[in-house]
Amino acid sequence: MRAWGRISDKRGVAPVISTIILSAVVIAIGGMVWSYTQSAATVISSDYFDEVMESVENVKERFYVENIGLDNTSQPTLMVWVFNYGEIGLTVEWIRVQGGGNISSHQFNTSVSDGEMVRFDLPQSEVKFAGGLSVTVEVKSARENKAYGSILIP
Amino acid sequence: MVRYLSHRRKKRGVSTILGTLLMVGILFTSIIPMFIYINEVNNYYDRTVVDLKIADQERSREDLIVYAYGNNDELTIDVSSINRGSVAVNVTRIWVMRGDLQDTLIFNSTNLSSLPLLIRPSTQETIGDLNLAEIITNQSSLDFFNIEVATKRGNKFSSQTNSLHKQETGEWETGTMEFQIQVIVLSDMGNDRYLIEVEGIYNTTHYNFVDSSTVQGQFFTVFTVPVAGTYNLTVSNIKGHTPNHVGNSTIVLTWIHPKSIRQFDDRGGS
Repeated sequence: MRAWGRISDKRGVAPVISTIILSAVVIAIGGMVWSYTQSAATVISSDYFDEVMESVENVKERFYVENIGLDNTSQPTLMVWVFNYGEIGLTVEWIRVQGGGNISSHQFNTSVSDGEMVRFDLPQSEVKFAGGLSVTVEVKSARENKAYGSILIP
Repeated sequence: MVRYLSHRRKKRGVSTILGTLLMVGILFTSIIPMFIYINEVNNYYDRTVVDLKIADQERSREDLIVYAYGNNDELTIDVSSINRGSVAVNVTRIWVMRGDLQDTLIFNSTNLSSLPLLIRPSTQETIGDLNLAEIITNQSSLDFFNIEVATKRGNKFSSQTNSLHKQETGEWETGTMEFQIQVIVLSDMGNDRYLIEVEGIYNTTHYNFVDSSTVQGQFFTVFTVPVAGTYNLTVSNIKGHTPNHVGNSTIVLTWIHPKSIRQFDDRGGS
């Protein structure tokens, strides 16, 4: 009877240990899940924030072609003034000139800060700036926004 | 047996509680803050879009009427702007571009102290003495100038008087807008004939005849004159051999009031 009682006592240790082990496993796995969830939530939030900020910058960008002039003194050059009237800076990636069925593209990657006006000089290339020609200017920013202007060459 | 079962039940309870606590912890420390954060970001985006819509709306509500006119010194012009919109307009630049596009003058805060200029709704401001000497060629065929006013919100308004032409004599004349003197003569005779003379500055005289031989009543004629200034208007009835003076009037035409109307009564006249 005593022996039986000892056995019974020995068996009493196992539930405690198993409870501790089980709890440790639960805490460990739970901790891992917690940590993973937290980092996933952080990454998701951060990515979402970046995407939204990019969209915000896209919609915040405001610019237009304020004027177009022609310098015919030496090499014919079209002068395009771009005014950034938005609240954020922008980068003019390229300006395309169309006229008489021809198109010429000019790469710039020039920054225009908010409230600033910048003049872009476009030397004559495929589009010849002949009198009476109607020329359309297309300005594209790095954020894929575009502005247009046109002029009739006198 | 009963003890054993109760032990097992207790063990199950601990891990369930722990698991539940962990899930609640995850919910409160990761999921809910993430949703709150995303919601805040969405709110920021919505606020930005609303602000931009307001800004775009204000931009579209800008309405300036611009009159550019030359001064007698032959080199300078004045630019008057009337704000007919419902929002205040901040003029940041004035463009003067010669008609052949070869030369451009940009007046801004760096070379014109009166800029930027805030024009409140229903008010008028004039920026005076813009010197165009740099781009005047003194060749009448080339000296056509287009004047435009640019605003901070990204609008550009052309002058009603474009193209402003500087003649070889030094006088400025308007391109598209014509100054008008409208004359009404009241007559009850059936065959009256009127001579209307308009004498203006630079001794330019304009004549017009109103022949009322076929119509009775109120006669209307319009003079167009090229420049603003003071004009003397004389109306004579020339039906008979001797011209009969009906009346005269002095008219002041300005760029703000480019039209004027005068009425003369010749009822019961000869």
